[in-house]
Amino acid sequence: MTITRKLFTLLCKPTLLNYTIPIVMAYLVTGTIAQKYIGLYQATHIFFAAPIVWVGGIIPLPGMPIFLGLIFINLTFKLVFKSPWTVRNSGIILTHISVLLLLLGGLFTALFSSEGYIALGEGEQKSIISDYHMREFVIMNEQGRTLMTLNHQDIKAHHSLSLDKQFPFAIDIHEACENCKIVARENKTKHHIGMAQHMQLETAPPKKNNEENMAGLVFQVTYDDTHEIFVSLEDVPKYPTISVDGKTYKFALRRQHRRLPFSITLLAFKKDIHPGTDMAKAYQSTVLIRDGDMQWESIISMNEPLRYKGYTFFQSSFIKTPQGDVSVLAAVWNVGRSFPYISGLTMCIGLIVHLFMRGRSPKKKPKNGKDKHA
Amino acid sequence: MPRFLILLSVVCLFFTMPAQAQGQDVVQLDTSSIARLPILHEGRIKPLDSFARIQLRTFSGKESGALAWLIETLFDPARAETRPVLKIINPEILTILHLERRKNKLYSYKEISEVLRTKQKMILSIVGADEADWSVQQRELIILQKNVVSLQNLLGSLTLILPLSTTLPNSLPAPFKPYTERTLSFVETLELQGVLQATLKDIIAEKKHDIEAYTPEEQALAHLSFTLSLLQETGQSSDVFKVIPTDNGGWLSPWESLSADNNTQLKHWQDLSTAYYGSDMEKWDNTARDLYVHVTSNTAQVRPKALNAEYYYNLYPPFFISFIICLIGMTALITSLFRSNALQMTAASTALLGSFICQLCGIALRIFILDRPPVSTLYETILFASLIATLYALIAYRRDRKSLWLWLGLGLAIFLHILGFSHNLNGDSFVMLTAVLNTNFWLTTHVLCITAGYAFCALTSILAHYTLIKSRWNGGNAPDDTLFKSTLTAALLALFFATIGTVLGGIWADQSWGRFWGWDPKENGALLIVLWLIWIIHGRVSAHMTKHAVLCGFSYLSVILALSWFGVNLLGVGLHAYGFMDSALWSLGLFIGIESIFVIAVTLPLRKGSTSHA
Repeated sequence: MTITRKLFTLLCKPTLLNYTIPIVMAYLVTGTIAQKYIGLYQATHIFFAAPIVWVGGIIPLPGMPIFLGLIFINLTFKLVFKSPWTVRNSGIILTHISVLLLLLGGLFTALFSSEGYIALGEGEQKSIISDYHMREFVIMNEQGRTLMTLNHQDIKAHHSLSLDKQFPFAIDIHEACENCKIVARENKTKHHIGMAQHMQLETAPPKKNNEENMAGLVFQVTYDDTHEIFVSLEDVPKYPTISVDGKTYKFALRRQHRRLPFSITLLAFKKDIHPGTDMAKAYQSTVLIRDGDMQWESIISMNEPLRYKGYTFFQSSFIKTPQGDVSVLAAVWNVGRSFPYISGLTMCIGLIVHLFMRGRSPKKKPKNGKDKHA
Repeated sequence: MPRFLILLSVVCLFFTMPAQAQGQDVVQLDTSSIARLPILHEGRIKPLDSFARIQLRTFSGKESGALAWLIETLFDPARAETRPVLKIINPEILTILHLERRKNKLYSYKEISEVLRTKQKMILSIVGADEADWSVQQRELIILQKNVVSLQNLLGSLTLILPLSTTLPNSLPAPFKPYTERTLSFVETLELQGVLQATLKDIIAEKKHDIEAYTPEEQALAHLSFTLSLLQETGQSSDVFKVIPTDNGGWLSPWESLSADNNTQLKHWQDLSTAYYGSDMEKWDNTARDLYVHVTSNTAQVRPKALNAEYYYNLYPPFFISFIICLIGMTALITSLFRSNALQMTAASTALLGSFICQLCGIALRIFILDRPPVSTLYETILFASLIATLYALIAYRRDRKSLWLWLGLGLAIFLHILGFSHNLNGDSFVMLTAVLNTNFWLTTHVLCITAGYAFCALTSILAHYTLIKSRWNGGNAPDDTLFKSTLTAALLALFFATIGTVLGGIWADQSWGRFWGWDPKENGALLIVLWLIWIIHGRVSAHMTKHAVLCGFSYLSVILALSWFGVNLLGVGLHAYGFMDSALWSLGLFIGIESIFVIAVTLPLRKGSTSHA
């Protein structure tokens, strides 16, 4: 038997499945337990999303996506080349198709989906989504227009940034941390500007919830004969600013932004709590969508999202501020979102048909008609 | 909030108990009428009977005589503070607090609050530390402190209407005349307090704080003023007993109602107090009935039928009754092992049916009381799983009349009942839903499917255990075909419900959070069950696994189920809000150990003999 034939046979048989499922289960258990120690975000990236898992940082192992891919290929081959496409087998075929759809949906979601959030105070209008996890370092002009963007995780301490030639300055990174600890600065010089006069940043261990990490940068901007050292902290609204050749440049560290093709305005936010407790019973945001000349109102509440132009907005949470409650809407773009629905329906039908067909199969008579204690 | 409560308690503990009720014997009153009075507690309007049970269970781990205890706590706090109701199990806590060990492990508020007062520095240092770093003893000490604060809060709930120990003499000047020579309460002195303060100010200006120099009348005024100040001080933090509804939909405690525009309902409570101290049962009963009618007819949020339903649910606990019925049925089955006759089978099957009806009534009552599907806590999922398992055993018994199904149904029901009781030791089992869970459709479809999946997993595992044991008992023969088929059917049903439930959960997550799958521990647990079943079933279909291996796999499903149902809650992470717990680690570990030993024990000796493929 040729290797191709052997491979073909292997791909058509459930043997592959029987070996891959225990590995997937092992990843599932390990990744779940790991969440207690390293948090969901890290555990997902290491055990569930990464195609290669590094054991101890040195031994590479195929990751869960590889095994899910193998299951997908195995199932496809089985369906196409081996499964008897009969009425009696229809339940199993439908169930297998639904699993393929589910895996395909997972692939689409992994490749093409994006999620973020919009935090809106009452009356506030935005057309930008902030990412939950990714941070970016941005150089802006005086009007706040973005001139250049760099991923924060690509910025390393003690390195210089490669900037476009349009910028009449250079930037050297002194410190870059995903989660920063602020400590008082002791070696203050005339070059330290703004927050940098009083504080310096040190790398702190990452928090379990990536959203709680406070990213930061300490960087030096050199232009003409001037050296200025700044501290930039995530989402601090006052940006380090320089003026060179009559132009003003601002530097910001923030959650990665994605622009929406329309704007969203929060008209009202309402929350209900269970009386006598702090427990939220329900919350809802009344929003106004503006898309070109069109505009209309909609209500987003728990389990009742708003869908528009491929985006889905969910009532995620709210933040209490001195100015009032800020509604946090999760915004998701997912081209594969219909897969689970189709798959779920197919799976349900498939399993019911299979159970029905199994119930109708001819019964063998038991050897003993009666069994006192079974 | 807990930190605030603890800090608050530090201040409050330095005050003596507010109401010094006049000493008298225990008052025996009819509690049936007051038991249904509505109270807002933890976001839910419930009958006073439930409130009393929850409170007493939190303090002492028991709930018998809860309402009588609550009435005494409310109306006679001086006596109630000497009742031993606070449970301390950990001997190290007793050592820290210099308390002697007791058989019943119960201590009174007075005993504990006195020693806790001396440990405030230690308590504050624990509160200041990260909760994750607390030792078991530190955690228990903080829980005890919280319980003492809660009990203190409760003890002070009605002190504004209780009789004071001070009586003003008749010889006082005119403004005090209407208040002399009779028992007063805080509310009765409200109009007097201005004059009292002014008079006392004059006395202090003249005689300073030398109480010995005061006349008996002045001493009485000073004593009254001091008592009123103490009552007000402690009463301000007494907010747990929210029994007075307001016009705007809120609920107030009696002390909070003092500052409200309309506090007419206090009059009813005053009447109850008068009846209590006068041991006037008729007045007590009539007043409680009037109060119930007044509150239920004037408050839109109150559902009197739900209050009644909950009262009867407490009075005749359906799951406890079902448990007793199961025990009776199991006894009948056990006796049939020695001398079998049809009567025993009839008794056992009737017991299984009776248990099912009780469980069904219990769940129906819970739906009616909560006005939503009853599956939002671990406890509720256990109840539902038990119902499904009992129903399946009943149907199967009716179909083929094998006593196996009676053993299985009754045994599993008894086990799940005990498991349920162990998950309902503290607090209210009727909890309010957080915003994201507040959807009847998804709760009904997703959670019920998953819970049904759990029930079938348990059935599959027990059937597999039995089949393996029987096979071993018969000298290692191949597993019984009929039993194997029954196990496989249960496994397929488990796979069906677990898969559909998991997919529905994903769709719910997509509706709520915008993502189908988030690798949350609870989601992963459900997926683990599905994968395990797929693995075993495909192993069987593809003939990669022997019947024996398949049965071992199905037996071990109990471990996968335990990890998925309870184990993931030990991690304390994830979005699924229900039931984080850290106390079950050892029980879970022991269970996994026993199951592992079982599978090894039934596998090793059979390896030589049984290799029959499906």
